[in-house]
Amino acid sequence: MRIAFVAGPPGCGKTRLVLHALGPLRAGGMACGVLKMDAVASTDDQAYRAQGIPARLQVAGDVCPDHEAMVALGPALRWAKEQGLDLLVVETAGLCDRCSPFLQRALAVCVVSGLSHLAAPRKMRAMVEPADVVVLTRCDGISPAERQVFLQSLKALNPGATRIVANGLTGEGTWALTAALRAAPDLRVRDVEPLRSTLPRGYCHFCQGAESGHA
Amino acid sequence: MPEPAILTVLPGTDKFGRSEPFGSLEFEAGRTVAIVGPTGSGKTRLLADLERLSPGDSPTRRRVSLRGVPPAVVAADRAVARISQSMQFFLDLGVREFLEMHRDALQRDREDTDLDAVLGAANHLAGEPFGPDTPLASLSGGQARALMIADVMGISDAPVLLVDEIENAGIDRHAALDVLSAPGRLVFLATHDPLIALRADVRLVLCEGAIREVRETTPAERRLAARLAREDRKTGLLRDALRRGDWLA
Ligand SMILES: Nc1nc2c(ncn2[C@@H]2O[C@H](COP(=O)(O)OP(=O)(O)O)[C@@H](O)[C@H]2O)c(=O)[nH]1
Ligand SMILES: [Mg+2]
Repeated sequence: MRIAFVAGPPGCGKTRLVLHALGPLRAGGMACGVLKMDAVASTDDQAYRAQGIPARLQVAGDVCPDHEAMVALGPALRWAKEQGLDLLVVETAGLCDRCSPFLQRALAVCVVSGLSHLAAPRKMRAMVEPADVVVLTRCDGISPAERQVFLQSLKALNPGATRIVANGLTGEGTWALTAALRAAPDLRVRDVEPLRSTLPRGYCHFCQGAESGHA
Repeated sequence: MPEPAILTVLPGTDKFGRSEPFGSLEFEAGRTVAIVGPTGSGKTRLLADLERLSPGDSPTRRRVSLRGVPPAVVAADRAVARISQSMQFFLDLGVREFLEMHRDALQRDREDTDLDAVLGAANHLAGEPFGPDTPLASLSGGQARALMIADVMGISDAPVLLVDEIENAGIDRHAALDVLSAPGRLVFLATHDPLIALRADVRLVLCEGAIREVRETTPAERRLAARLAREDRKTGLLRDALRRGDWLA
């Protein structure tokens, strides 16, 4: 099964991009499904199912969501196999920006909004730097010169990545993401997969799932 | 002689999914092309397809390609530039700092790119002056568009230029177009203004999202343009008089 992670802050356009990018793959007969991971809550799985895409929601709850991606893949993968998927896309919110949810061997796609601050990519470097593909969305609201400056700041952080400018509303630019997903690594995934980023050396009580107020 | 730049548009569909009524359209470097049609007819949509050299993944499914331009220019995102009516800047940078970053983003030579000249040209077009340290996001609409035009001229210097309703940009539209229409450049002008449309060699008539017709500007229309230009200059003088508080007759 091919596996791709699509990560980025809330509202940057991940769900819309994935819906557009999967279109040509599904039309070509590829069985595609989505695992949505979030810290607290999400209705994205419904948005995918409404388009006929098998989707499953996994909420990390008390556990750090980045670690959830690493340790809780097992049940999700069994589900994906039952569905007979050729491609599993894992959509995950950008989390605390200390780590990233990317697995070492799966395709890593990072989505950044062109409407965010120019310093935003640097603050999210844990997600930008290890990505294979960096997508810049929401450029319809900014000038071409600003888009070019933004792309340059992404390139400075991760020169080797494929950079895509895409619009989640119209689907413009999403064929390039389609091509990247089509070529995502075909993996036999183990129940626990190593992450691309190193984990923090210490955890606060909240990360460990302690009751709030007793930190 | 290198081959001149040629931009090709392959047909897409209109708002109802019907195919556009042409086989393919080609536009050569040096031409000026007007894009006309009622509001909502797809003028800005067409400009967006042209800007991206769309491979077919936009709502219109048009495919746009450009040949005769060095691949390095296309790769550096320097082939097509766009100026639009409503554009404002929002990045948290000073004007000069932004120009420096844009120059570097487009891999322009630091020695050969005269940022003071860009600032000077922008101030000349804007009317209301601004400085190198003015925050980008605080520029007025007219100042922002003036800066974009000066930036297109001095930094991107793109062989293909797209201009969206410059008549509403809050700057002198003819001064802006004179600056932008460098020889050898392929220019697309979306407009409702007859005088601007008649600057073009040819115009595309849009309707319900599709390019419906391609019209060469006729000799009679060119004569009309000359007459309109004289009237326009007169109106301009009257406008200045009105601003000064003079009597108009
Ligand atoms: N203008 C504009 N809106 C976008 C773009 N991409 C996404 N959106 C809108 O932003 C909102 C959030 O998008 P969504 O895909 O749900 O973001 P997610 O939280 O990252 O999955 C939706 O209303 C989208 O239609 C874009 O490129 N331009
Ligand atoms: Mg989402």
